[in-house]
Amino acid sequence: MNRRQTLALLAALLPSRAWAETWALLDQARGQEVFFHAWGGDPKINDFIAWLGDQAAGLGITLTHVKLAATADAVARVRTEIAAGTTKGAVDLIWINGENFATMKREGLLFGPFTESLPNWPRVDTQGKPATVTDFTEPTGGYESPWAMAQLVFEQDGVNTPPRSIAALADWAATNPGRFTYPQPPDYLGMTFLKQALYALLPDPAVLQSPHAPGLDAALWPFLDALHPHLWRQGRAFPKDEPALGLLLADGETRISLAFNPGRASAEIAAGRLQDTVRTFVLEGGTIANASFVAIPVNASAVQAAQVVANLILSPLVQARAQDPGVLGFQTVLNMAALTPEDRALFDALPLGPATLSPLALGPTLLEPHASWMTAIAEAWAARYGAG
Amino acid sequence: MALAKPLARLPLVLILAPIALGLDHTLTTAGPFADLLQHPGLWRAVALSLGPGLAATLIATGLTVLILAHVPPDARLFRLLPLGLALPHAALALGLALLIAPSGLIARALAPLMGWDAPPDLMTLQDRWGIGLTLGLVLKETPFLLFLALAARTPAIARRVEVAATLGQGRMARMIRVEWPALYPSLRLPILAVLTYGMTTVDMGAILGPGLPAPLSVEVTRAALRPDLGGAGLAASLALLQLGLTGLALLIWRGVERLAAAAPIPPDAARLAQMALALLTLPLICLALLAVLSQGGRWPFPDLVPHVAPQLPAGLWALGLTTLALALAAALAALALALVALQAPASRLEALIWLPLILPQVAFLPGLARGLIPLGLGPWPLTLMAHVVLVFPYVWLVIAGPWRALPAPLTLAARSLGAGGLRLALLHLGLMRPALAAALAVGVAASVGQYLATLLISGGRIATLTTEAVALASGPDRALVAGLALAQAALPLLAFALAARVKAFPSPGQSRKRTP
Repeated sequence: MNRRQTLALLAALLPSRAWAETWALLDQARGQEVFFHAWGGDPKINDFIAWLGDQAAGLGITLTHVKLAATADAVARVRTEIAAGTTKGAVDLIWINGENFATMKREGLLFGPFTESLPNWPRVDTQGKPATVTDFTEPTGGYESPWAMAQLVFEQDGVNTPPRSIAALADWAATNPGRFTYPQPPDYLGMTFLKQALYALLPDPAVLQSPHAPGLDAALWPFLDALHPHLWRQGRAFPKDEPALGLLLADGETRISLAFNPGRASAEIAAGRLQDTVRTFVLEGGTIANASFVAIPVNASAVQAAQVVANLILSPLVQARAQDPGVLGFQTVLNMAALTPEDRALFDALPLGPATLSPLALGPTLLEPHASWMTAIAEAWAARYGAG
Repeated sequence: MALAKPLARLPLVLILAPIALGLDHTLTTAGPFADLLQHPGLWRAVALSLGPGLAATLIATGLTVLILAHVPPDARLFRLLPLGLALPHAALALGLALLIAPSGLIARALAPLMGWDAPPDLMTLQDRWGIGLTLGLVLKETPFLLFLALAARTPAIARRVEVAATLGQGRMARMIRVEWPALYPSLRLPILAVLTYGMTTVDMGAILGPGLPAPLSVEVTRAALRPDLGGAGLAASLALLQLGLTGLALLIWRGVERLAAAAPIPPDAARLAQMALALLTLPLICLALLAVLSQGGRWPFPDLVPHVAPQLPAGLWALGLTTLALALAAALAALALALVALQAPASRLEALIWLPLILPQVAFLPGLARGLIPLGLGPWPLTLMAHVVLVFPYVWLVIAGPWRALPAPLTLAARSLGAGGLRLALLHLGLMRPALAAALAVGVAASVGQYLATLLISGGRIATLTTEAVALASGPDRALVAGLALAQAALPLLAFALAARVKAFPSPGQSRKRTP
């Protein structure tokens, strides 16, 4: 990368020249190596992180993607290191959210608060996308920096009139036995489906924002008891996670599926792994949305460079590439109104993709329930259905 | 031999100390026993560990006896053994799943006949009784036992079988009365390893076993992967239960041995043996299926062949080189330690060598990591140490039996001819060449298969074919997973193929050629 490209990248990275002078971290970060622990299951995401590494290299930072099968592996590593008193830890940056974040924050395993000092922070749409600062009702407190928005969407293949409510979905499943299922709780996508069902089934969904109390979830279980016999494998087996569920749709085993990335179907079609007849739809009244984050362990070896990478991820250049349906199809965390016209043009130029809904058609978003609901529902589900 | 006894015991200490560290951690983090009993589906999970583990071991051993009795050792099919042997457990499970799933190859082939335009909603995979899991284990473990049995068949044993044949004994009678009792001392440890593996496997259990509940080993992993600390406690107590259960299974196996000794000799069944051998080609079909799928993008039902979108996993060569370097170093170090340990007389202490095989890895590796990390060594030495600990039992189980079975008269004769020290050791090593080569190959295969140890101990700083394959296996790209599984199989395949060529001494024919 020559000098002019470096400058261009810096300009894209920083809202104003002033930051380049005041943000001393850039200098300290140069020459550091960042080990980014992130789920490595999806080649699209792996390629994107490799591309991100090229951008970081322009700032003198070596970004190495440590491919995890589960984020909990990285949490366990940091916990072990802290217990052993290691100060130069193996993990510099983690792709994280939800329970893993709440646990690390509670146990004091995270560095921070750092997000509000990032030069790109003012561009984050914290007002319009409150999930960027609230992770499953847990305030991020500046200990994790958002990098992509996620919203629950449904996907269908060859369904003429897709069901637009939880009740209609149950009816569809009854008339099309074996063609719908959800990932086995406590998988996060399976849990999101259950929480979405709670929004429809509870007389007053507002209780979801306060801690769970016994009996509040009573309406969920008769609904599931009635639904399960019509599911894939009569509800006697469930796919383990989102990719396994996606394969069922690709193989034609199911015809209605769900995803937490509104651009997933388009991106999978672009990657040649999903039939181009698949379309995305949402439920009337809105679907649950949250955000993905990056966090820095308290004993990271490259604290400065990790912050520079977190900031790089918030740059319009990186965000627009992530939103490209041919790349990832992740929705941006930035506020379009806070961008310069040139930066906004990066997003306006993006095609929507064959299966993706426009931002308007995606409809309203619902908040994640209080984290205690997740634990309580997952345990009750396992007790009811987990014993086979 | 020249080594002092305490020195010969040192390898055991080196191997056992890290495990003790890990175990100690498991014991101290174990949650209350009452929580364990509350775990949904606990007894079913226990049954799904014990049932497939015992059944698969029994069937694999039976098939080994049947095939050895009826098929001559120079049969062409035996040359294919390394193929099935080298296929990593996870890869075989994946291939088998792609074969028997309702959207798999068999259903696709049947689709035109049955009029299916979508995969049938049948539970052919992850069945509630663990039948698919048992089948997968049998397919994986029978070639392993056959390979070791062929390696343990010394000329002396072969001669005894010939004598029995001249006495007019049937094939099964010869096998069970003469050959098997001579082979079994060498095979007993591997068979027990097969039993413990079948009960503690996580990757095969997760792919082929049911999920509601899953086999105990998978439940341990699930608990350990829960982010909250309660998960670690539950995982530790489930792991202790798994430990007890494995002990119980080993006791049951002793009972099986007694029963088998008293059972009548079954009649010859040449056709059945051929069928059993044919069954062992299934892993090869799985391998071929993976090869085809690794080239594929989309595989819509009921197409028999996927839409081709060839791609090579990025950085394949670098990953392969890292994997190979780690595996070779670990296997050689483990073999050296095993040879030193074998200088001491057999002892009951050696039962402890089995701990890393019996314990679910996810339950003692965090403790091991906690013990190793403060040493402040780099990721390479630490990961190598962990690999040596985990590879050692496999190397031991291949080498210990044959080494201890070295004929004492031969040693005496050599001594009386004036051979001592180094020459005697060389003679032993010469006799042991096939077993040494087999031990190295098994060591390489065991190291290549390590996922959690590599990831946890290196902190993710060492990426191998396996860490890459397991990470991708949690994702949507089946073609890439298949491609990596093949690459992962290639290294052990090479090792086994090379090991299978090693002979004890150059055959008389060869030496005659050299001295005209």
